Amino acid sequence: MASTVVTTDPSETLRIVGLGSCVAIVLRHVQVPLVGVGHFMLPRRALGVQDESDDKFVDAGLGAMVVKLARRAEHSMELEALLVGGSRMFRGLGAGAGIGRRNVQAATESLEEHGIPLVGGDVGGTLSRNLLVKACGREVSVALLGQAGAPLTAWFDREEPQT
Amino acid sequence: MTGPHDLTELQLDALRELGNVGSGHAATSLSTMLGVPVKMEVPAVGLSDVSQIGDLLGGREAMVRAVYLLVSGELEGHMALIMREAEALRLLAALMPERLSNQKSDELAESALAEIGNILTSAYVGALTRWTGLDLRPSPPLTAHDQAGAILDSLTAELQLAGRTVLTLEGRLEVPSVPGCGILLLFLPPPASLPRMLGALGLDALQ
Repeated sequence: MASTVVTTDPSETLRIVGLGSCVAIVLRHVQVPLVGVGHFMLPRRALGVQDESDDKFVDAGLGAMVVKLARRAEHSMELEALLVGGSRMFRGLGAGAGIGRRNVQAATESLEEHGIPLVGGDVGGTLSRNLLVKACGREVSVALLGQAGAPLTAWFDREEPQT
Repeated sequence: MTGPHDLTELQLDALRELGNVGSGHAATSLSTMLGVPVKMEVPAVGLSDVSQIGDLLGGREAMVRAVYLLVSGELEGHMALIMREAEALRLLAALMPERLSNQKSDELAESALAEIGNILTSAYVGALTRWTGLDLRPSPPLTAHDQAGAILDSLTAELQLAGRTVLTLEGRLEVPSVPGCGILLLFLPPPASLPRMLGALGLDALQ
């Protein structure tokens, strides 16, 4: 599952459930009610099979989301980002750091390329997350599997301990 | 060449039969391990797009237990067995109530379910080996325990399966005095392997 949603309606709630190794990027406008939420499965376009839609990939999907937001933003495009997800569901599956970690890395790099500051996040670890975005990104909460949702206001990397 | 999307009815029938035979073996293995009669019903064998599989498990938020292994050798493929957590734990509680009552129950459940998954998937690989005559080797299984959406997305991403068609087998484990436990077996042969598998089954040239 991969998708991007943009809204200017503060009463609209955007929800992503079952974020595992995927990442969700929340891009909110710092002045006006405008937010985009993208759900991405793979780090960079070159890694996937061909004829895929861009929105599966962190790098291409982020670019597309920025364009979507720019169309809605009347004047300035002052955005900030939150990043959620990128955990490891199967220990030992895949090469190296795993796709979740690579998604997180691709997201931080892509945001930097776009000059968008990353102001908070909850990434890594071994559990899935549910994400709730309200009030055009002014209220963002993350629930780690089996836990109650908590407001996302800082950066939290739950990188697995080295074994 | 027949692609995964347009298997003939005859080829699908062969896959269904393979699923039935594998399920028979799987039930027998499990029965031997547990010392209780185990039967497996196979209501459905078919093909699904990877993105549709969550629906078979009750949605993205459904808690599931999953076992994944790589089949290699003369034919390569990914195999995953997924059980809804509530049904799996209910089955386990009935099978080994005394072992699940102590404080280590979580770890025990985890390893017992992993072992059940291991036995079932091995039985399917064994059935495939016997039917096709191909030399197939399953890797040690990896287990996960989380929301269905998170697990399926991770498999899709890690194994680069987006847009791919998966062989799905929906089974139901029946043990005396317990409501049945649904299992979902997924088998994902790379595109080049499915014709090979059908060929080994003698179905390549049949239309």
